[in-house]
Amino acid sequence: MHYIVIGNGVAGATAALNIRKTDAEGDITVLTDESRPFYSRIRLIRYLAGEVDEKKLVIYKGDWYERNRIDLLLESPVDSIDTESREVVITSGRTMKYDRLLLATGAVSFVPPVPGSRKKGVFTLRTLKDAAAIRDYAVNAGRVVLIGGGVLGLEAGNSLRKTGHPVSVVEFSPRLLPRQMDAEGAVILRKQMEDMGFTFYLGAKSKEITGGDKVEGLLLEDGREIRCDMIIISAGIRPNAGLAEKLGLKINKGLSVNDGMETAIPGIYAAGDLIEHRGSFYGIWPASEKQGETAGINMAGGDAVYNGTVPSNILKIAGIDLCAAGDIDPEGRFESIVSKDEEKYIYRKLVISGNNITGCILYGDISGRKRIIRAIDEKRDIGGIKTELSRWNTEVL
Amino acid sequence: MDKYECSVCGYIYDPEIGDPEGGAAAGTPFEKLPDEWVCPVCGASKDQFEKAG
Repeated sequence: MHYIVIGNGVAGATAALNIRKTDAEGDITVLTDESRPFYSRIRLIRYLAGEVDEKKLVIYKGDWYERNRIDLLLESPVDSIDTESREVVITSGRTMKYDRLLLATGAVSFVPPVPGSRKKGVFTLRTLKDAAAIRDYAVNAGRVVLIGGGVLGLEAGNSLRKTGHPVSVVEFSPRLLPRQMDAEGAVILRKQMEDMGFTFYLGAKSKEITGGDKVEGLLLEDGREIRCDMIIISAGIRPNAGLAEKLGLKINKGLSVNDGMETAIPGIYAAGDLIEHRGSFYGIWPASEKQGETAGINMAGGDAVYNGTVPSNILKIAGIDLCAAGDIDPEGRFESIVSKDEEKYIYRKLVISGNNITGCILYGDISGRKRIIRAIDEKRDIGGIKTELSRWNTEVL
Repeated sequence: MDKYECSVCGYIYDPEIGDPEGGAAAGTPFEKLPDEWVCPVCGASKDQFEKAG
């Protein structure tokens, strides 16, 4: 049996390991276009700030692949897949036969169509190569503009702020972290980050990146121009679905798979940021890890089921803890319990519908988060404890 | 008792503090954490931890 895994991020690497755990005999080949073994994408932010080195980023170090008898081929992007002959064609021209194949090609940064985005000094941040390029360029750069005020944009901005760069963030939405924060919380976050030295342009649309060969500034739709030496675009991710499309597989938010991580083509599985599962596109580490595990077990003949992932991880925004789950109700359509302390930069909200908590935002103080998330998951009846909760006593959950 | 570091996000599990939110009382050694326990910061599995130091 020959297993081929395309992609060596968390989904691919976890799948390879689980294939090996389930099938001690089969041959496993992992193909990646990257030049380093499995590393932590999450920690690229710290690498950008100069706080960890490249070696520290690598998760499966040294002889890990050899010990697990996994053949890792670096810098080996796949050009095409022939499902009739069950062969993978690597860009170098080499072909390889497979019995079971996993597509774990991940996601790519989305670059909105802003004129000038091909100028020197414009970057996206997704891979170690991207991060290294930003670090190199930043050495001789002053002011930095981030297009996108989501988690990645604020985090990358914070890393560059730490290395001495004045940082501006341009966000299309009228508030920061539009997916995790409501308007009231985002005001507190903004104030806290302005105190750290950030400059914000909210509700602002990028019109054009100015300069000659190199970036000199960003022109906004409203006519303002922000002078800068480099721009990092963090406008979200899209599934890296080129190979899947070539196979004629249908892409919605991502490539659709069933609970066993199978695609519509027999013998071909998919996992990670490439896929959508029951209509959800996750793009988060724990989901990809679980999907990779499920795919690996099933490819090797096991019987595993993926039931979806409830995101319950903590986001660190410039060192500040944030946890958002369920429906954050940014428009304030539902009943809610809010506790805030602007002096201490704390904002907490429970969204309530009937007798259930349907979502939460915990900013600056994430205590009780597990209880709250469990109550959301279990659709716990909170009818009798609303008074306690309104005093923010989460012990009753 | 040894501290363990999450190789995904850098979170350090300190057994003296434990992870009460995640169901691990203070004083729980890393080895005694249940297999389903995940990194409270990034959600990575226990497998991704290595001894800190």
